[in-house]
Amino acid sequence: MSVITVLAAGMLLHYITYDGRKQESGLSRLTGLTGFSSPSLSVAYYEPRLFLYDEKTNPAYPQMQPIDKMDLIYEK
Amino acid sequence: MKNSAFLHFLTLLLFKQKSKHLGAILISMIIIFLLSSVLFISSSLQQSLLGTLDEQPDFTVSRVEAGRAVNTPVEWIDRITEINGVSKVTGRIYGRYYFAPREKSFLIVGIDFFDEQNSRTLKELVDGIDLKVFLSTPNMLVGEGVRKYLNAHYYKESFSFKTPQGSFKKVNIYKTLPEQTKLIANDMILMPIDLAREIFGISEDEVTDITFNVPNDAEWDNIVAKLHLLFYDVRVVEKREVRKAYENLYNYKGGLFLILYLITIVTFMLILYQRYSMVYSSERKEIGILRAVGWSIKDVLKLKFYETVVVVLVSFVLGVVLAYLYVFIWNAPLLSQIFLGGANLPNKVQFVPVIHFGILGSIFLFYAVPFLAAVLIPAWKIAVTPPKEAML
Amino acid sequence: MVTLENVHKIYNEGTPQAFDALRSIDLHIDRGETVILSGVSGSGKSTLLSLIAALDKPSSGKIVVNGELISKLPDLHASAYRARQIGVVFQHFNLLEDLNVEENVIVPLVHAGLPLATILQMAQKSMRSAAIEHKAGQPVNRLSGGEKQRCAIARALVHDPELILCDEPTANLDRANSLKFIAMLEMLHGMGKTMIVATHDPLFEALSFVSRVIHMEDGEIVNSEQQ
Repeated sequence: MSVITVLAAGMLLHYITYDGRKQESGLSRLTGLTGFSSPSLSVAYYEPRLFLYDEKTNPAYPQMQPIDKMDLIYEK
Repeated sequence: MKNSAFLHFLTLLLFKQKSKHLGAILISMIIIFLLSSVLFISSSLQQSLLGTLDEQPDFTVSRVEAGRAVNTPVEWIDRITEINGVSKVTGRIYGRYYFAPREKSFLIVGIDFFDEQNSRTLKELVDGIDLKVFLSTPNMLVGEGVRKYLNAHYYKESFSFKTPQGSFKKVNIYKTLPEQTKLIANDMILMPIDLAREIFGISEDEVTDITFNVPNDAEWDNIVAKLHLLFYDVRVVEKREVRKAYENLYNYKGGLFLILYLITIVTFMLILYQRYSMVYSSERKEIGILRAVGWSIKDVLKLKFYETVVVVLVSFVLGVVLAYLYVFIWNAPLLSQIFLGGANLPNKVQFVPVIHFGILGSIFLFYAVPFLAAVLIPAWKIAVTPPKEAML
Repeated sequence: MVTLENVHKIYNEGTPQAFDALRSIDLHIDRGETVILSGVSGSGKSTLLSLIAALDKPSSGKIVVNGELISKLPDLHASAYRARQIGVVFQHFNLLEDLNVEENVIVPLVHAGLPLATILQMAQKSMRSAAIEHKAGQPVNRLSGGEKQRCAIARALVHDPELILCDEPTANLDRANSLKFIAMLEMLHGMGKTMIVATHDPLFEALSFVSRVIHMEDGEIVNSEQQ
């Protein structure tokens, strides 16, 4: 039990003390420079469509792809 | 302490019967580990992406022809600037450069480095960059994935882009973008805006799209309406749509995992229930003996409850801690590929620790309650049997 | 000390498989007596002991132990009765095989509300009485039959009960260990314990410390011999 407590405490300590600001600021600066916040293609979030299921398109922009497909960013 | 005898006995039983509990702990731990890993990865990625949204322009506007986005006239910039409430109207030059032989794409983004704001941001982003040297010859900054890819294909110092006119434009690799930007910039190339124009064949009177901000978000709908009145062939992408997309990001994959988890946990609980209910199990005899020497049903259930709570807590904590180590220390080899995929260029992202304690708590409840029920219900059934029968 | 009045026990009552395990049992045992219940298998000896130990309830009749009516006790009270007033030695020892001797002996006292140190002291004393203290740390699954029986006795004695019930205690022992067990019973008799031993072992016939031998057949008391 003491080993588990130590592990859990270690995990919490790491979580509390981790400085994510370097990554955050790096990403923010890049976005500020390029205007892009979308993940790179190699992050491959393009979700496959379920069989027979299709998201409703945005009614204001019927020609646009559904927003959660992110084609709207990558179309070009 | 009066209860120390009970605690002493509980500890004894747990240690002496550890082989009995080991199987349950291992399986539970693996289930919790997988689910927590998935949760950590998706939360971390979503948080990182949502965090960058503040810097993104509120609106992106492009021209469409037959439903497809095409280059946008520069004169739109002035007309958009005239709309009340908009600020920071900027034209962007970017595009995907498709490297046909290997079927990979790079995202080339042209930046006006003569802009003070941009040059300042660049100096903060890339350590040790000398803008004068960078801008003196055709140079580019590449993402980590691009650099590795070009290196692997022997483009160590430069790469020649084929322009729409048929000529080749050789651009030197100046530096690699910092590692912490890999999530967004893995396949990105930054270069001076004129160079990007040349590579994409975009003339001076065009831009790829136009971005601007509208500080008062109550005006956003009005602005969209005005844009449509101004231009019949406009497409507008709002930041709030992108935010929604990010919030939904990985929900599909996360949902699949959740269903798998639910099926696995139900199966596991059924197995546990069966195991504890077995007519000739040692469990039955043990409870019979305890009852025969003077333990009440309540005492027996108390023992089983605490025994199970310890097993549940140990397996849950171990599962979560292992998942944390796996995702945030070792960057989730294998599992991250399911989320990050291998599309385009390979990417290895450093996940920033994000823990949603509320969700972890829900996972714990969904796991602990069925587990306790699967153990306590059969234990109760045995405990209410006359001890003589139970000991047979 | 122990009084049974017109006790009946019917198993599977109300079904075609119902059978009378005990019929019209009237019995009185005084404090300090050692009583042998003898009879063949199925005569009802073990059933009678189970009822006195409140491990089961009679179908009808009264059982009073030390002035307490135990035949209709709810579970909590029946458990408390077993934990405080009686010690039971089973035929198959019924020890927790994963634990050692000392750990088995303390089981009845875990919920007694006593400090751990006191419980361990009581366990030591009980193991000494049962001549098993030298094996205190030995896992029970590595003990011989005789040693297991002594461990079971130590467990039955740990809370210093007045009434000790033994169900076929020598059925799984060889002659030498059976004689040792009988010697221990004699010692307990000397300590003033009331004992009821259900057995068909002939070694228990004609023991000087036994006050009565009660013969049972088909769930009834057929004979009661004063020794």
